[in-house]
Amino acid sequence: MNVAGWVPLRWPCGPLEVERGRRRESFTATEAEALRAWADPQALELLAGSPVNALVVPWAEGSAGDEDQQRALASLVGAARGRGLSVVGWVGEKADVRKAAGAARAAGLQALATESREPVDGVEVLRFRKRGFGDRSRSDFLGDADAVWPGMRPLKPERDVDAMTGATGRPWIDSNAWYVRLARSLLQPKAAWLAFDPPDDGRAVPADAYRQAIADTEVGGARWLVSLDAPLRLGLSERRSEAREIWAAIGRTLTFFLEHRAWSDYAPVGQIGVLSDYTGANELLSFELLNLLARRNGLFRVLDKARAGETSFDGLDAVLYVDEAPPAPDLVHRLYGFAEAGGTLIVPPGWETRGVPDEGARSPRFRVFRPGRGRLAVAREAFAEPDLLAEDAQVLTSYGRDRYRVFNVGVGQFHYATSVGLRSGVLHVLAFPSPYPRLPVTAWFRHPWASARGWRLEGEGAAPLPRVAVDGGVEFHLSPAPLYCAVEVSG
Amino acid sequence: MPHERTRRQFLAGSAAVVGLQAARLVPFARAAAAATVSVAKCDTYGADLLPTLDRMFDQLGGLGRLVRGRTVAVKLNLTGPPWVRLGTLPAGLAHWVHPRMVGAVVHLLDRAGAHRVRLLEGGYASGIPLDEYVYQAGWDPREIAGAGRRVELENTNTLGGGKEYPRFDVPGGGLLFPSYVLNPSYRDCDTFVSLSKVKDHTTTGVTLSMKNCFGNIPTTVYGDYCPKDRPDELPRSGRNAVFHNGTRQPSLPAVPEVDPLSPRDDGYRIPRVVVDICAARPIDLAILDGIDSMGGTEGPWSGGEHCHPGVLLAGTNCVSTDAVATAVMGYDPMARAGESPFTSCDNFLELAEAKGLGSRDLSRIEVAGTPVREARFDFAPLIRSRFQRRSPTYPPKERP
Repeated sequence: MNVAGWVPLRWPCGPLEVERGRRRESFTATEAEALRAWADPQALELLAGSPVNALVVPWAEGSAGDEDQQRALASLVGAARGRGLSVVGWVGEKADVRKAAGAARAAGLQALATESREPVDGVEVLRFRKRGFGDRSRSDFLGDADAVWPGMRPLKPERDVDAMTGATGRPWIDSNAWYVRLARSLLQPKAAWLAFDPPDDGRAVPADAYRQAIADTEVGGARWLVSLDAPLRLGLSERRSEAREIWAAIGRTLTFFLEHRAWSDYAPVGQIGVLSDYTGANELLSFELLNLLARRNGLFRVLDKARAGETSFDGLDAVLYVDEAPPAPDLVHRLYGFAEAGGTLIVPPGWETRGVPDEGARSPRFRVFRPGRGRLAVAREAFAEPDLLAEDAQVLTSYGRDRYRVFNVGVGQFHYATSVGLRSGVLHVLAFPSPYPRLPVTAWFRHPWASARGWRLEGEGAAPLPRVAVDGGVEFHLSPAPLYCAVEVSG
Repeated sequence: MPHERTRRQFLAGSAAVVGLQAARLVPFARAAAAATVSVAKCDTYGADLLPTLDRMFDQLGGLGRLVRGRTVAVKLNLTGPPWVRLGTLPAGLAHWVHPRMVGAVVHLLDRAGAHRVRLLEGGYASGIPLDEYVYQAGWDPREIAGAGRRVELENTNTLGGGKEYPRFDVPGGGLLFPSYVLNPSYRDCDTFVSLSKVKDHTTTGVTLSMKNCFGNIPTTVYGDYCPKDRPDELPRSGRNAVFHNGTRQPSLPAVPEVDPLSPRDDGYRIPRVVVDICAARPIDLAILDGIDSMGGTEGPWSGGEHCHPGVLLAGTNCVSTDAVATAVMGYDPMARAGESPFTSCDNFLELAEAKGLGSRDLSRIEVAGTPVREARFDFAPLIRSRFQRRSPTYPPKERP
């Protein structure tokens, strides 16, 4: 079973979904009808020409209606199998997974998906889990049940508020990409799925929001368990043209990333190594630090304290040791060695200072020393505010060491990854809504890439980008960025 | 990087060091009603830049009398975030003063005997060190710092190394605020230089040496999100609420505005702040970079297009210097509110003149070097590139 090749879609239908909908006050008879209609094999016509090849259907939730549900879906499951689709049954946490598994085997489902930890034999189970790494046991599949709907929180510009920033200095962006990178680094699954649903506020979700959700997931190397909002599902049932256009846009976006799967094998470029055990008391700060470093478009590499002995600091400009408790002596030795060899080591209070004070350093929250060729920054107070720590880490590392810069995207998220041996690379650019007109974009790289091509979700293939050699690097110029574009570099 | 090597590298790329030319020695006369303004054509930021500036400063009486043995603060014009460009142009070719211009000025100040040169700017919504800030635009601050012996960069959005914000009273009372609190570097300098771009401005008509000083004001105290009772040492925004719209008062220790019932329109408010701040912290030397610039507005976020006036200006009176620059831009420095380029604002030159900061009357200002008519580059046609915004409500049609 090649789960990594699956492109999954939540397929809400049948009596269980109707029952769940009825718990909502705003649930309408039309919605109920649509849920029943999606249990009809004819509904699968929607998938013609779509890259979706796996359906995730409601299978059991531990209620009296489970058996009715499974009976109601029998013909749908058969038809789906007949069309070459994989079918996965979603089992709620309260359900008896073993019982659900028996029914799944009988119905011909390929797998179950559940947050339950209950062991099951005879059926493949795709385990979803809450965020956290107390359990480091590895598995080929990682399902993230805590993923958020990605995107920029809507600006509420008031007359007295600068539209370019939010209350934290920049608009708040929800993203799962940082967590995907963390999880892939710590657990190394072959496939990672994110389960999140569109906002349920009664309004139709626009196509761009779906594109953004897919892009945010794919740039981290994961796959979204695509979930359509209720108005869209209803619109598709009623064959409304605007709904079909949104569905087509979703399909094209999924196809785009399928056609560029090689990019997900590239290694994210790391500049600041973030070293932590990422668990227990350190979880909150280390998670938020990665989230905010990503939001500041900082290049980070996850360094797992549990495997520090086998972790290389090669290629890093800085290492930030996050945890309050000091590491084992051999790791301390390696970290000081990193600083003495030219790197920047950033640590909490209490670490032994080495070298001479760096008189030129102007960092109010750190005492900075020069041990050998590098720098040692010891915090004056315990790390507490992750956004400040992220900013301090970037400044201590120095923007003068930037590996890339992007101009004129406004509020954007960037992900830069390269192949082994720096033969090629990709810079993903996600642009969020802006009160200002879109401007031509410049991507600057320190690495002197020989050429670049620009990709867009809705484009007609790659466009060669003009290359300009500048002091300290090269620039490539793109026309104004829509929601997403990629700069594929090589040479 | 060794200091001397960097310095030589800078000079090699900029120009050969030229000897002082005893052209016209006009004594410095700080805050004179109408002081000499030097104008020069300069086509590039290359080899001609340093000798041209050197000659211009000679025409003003030489830099030495103004800076020798003194701490000199230079307010740079780096408006907007560092990751914004006009098209694909580096900021220095459009809305920021050019880094080679900064380096050339630093070098000449240093050579004239400045004890220390401190480069100042409040980076947009940022409190990080200024050298780190400008890296993000692609500048190398080491090259600039290497152009002189004791050169420092300071982000004046915050206190920096200071303990408290010093207060600068506006002599005779302010037009908008009676006083302003600023980063201590504005107090601790003996000579204050405003080094600005020559460009249009959506709110004040033109950006020149005086408007540049709007950026002196720290967003830790005057920013949109600051708490009322204290500064927020983490700048997060611009200064819209306090200044442009007047929807809130600044944080302590700043004092509230003179008249809370005055118009809340930025066309009324911003010109007055500009005059206040230039009265409270006077400019000793105004230097204007009009080699490459942008017209139509002050930054790419409002539209605009690139232009190449190929001109430099300098003077010891900011009002006179900006008046001559306004004329070089093809505008009338005597224009009233509602007239180009002050189509939706009061003319800050008029307000400054009335305040006694200097004369804007071209007939009273001696221009050294290139005559205005020869240096003229019309900016007015470039207004076409300005993004449309709300219809101007200022000035009111019926004016007293």
